[in-house]
Amino acid sequence: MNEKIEDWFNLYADELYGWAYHKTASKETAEDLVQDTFLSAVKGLRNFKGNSKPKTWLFAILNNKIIDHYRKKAKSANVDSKAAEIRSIKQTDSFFDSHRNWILTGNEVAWEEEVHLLDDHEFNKTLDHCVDKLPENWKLAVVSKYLSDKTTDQICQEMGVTLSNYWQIVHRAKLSLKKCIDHNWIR
Amino acid sequence: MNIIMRRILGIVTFSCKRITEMVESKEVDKLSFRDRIRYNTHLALCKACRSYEKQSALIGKALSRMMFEPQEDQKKMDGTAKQKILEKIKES
Repeated sequence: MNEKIEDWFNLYADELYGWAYHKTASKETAEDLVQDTFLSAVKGLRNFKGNSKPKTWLFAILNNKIIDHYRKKAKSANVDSKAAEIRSIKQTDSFFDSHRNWILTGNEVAWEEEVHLLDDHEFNKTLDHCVDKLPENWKLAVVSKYLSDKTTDQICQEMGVTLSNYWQIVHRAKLSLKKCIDHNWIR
Repeated sequence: MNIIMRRILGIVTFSCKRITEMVESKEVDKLSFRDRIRYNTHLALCKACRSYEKQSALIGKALSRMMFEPQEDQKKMDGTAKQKILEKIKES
């Protein structure tokens, strides 16, 4: 049974590690996450029906581990990260005037029409950097939403927030990401 | 659109901030007929919100795609760490 997992380990360990390292910026954490992924894979192999490719399956497990990691980080959130969140809330509020309409400067960069952006390395790097700068629990919400196949209800439960709270966080996180890309992406 | 027009649009339809909120959640699907017209009118007239709607979708798409993008500076896992994990797989 485990031979299959061993084969997959030899095939995909580096790729999984690369991704985990990229998401956590720590060698030790990335190694631990890859190890947990394969140990979970051993346990869950019976449930793997082969509907997806092994690599896709392993990545899905790893992503859940990464989210767990973010969640632990968000939970141990200290006064600093609470302050960071308040700062970010103020910042997203400042995009709008007292009537809650956009404050426009007239030289907004239009980057929404560029479909090829998805393949643009610089763009993805900027986005990544921007996600990194989000307050811990905003990051957790975004990563859970886009990197896992968890339902919204599951995410809310795990984060310990109400549904409207969750959408509020995703909303603010998206606003921050938009502004961050506006400011940091150099074409 | 100047600031006065925007303010009027905000009163007649929704504020821009509210629109960006609605764009994000699925609540747009559940709007009443009347609110849907207000929502669509706002987007039709407000370029900034139209941009935002597309940018938000693009960010979402980029984020979901990221995990299958190969990393440009592919890191290799440390050999000793690999060995250790392989042994744990064998044991389990």
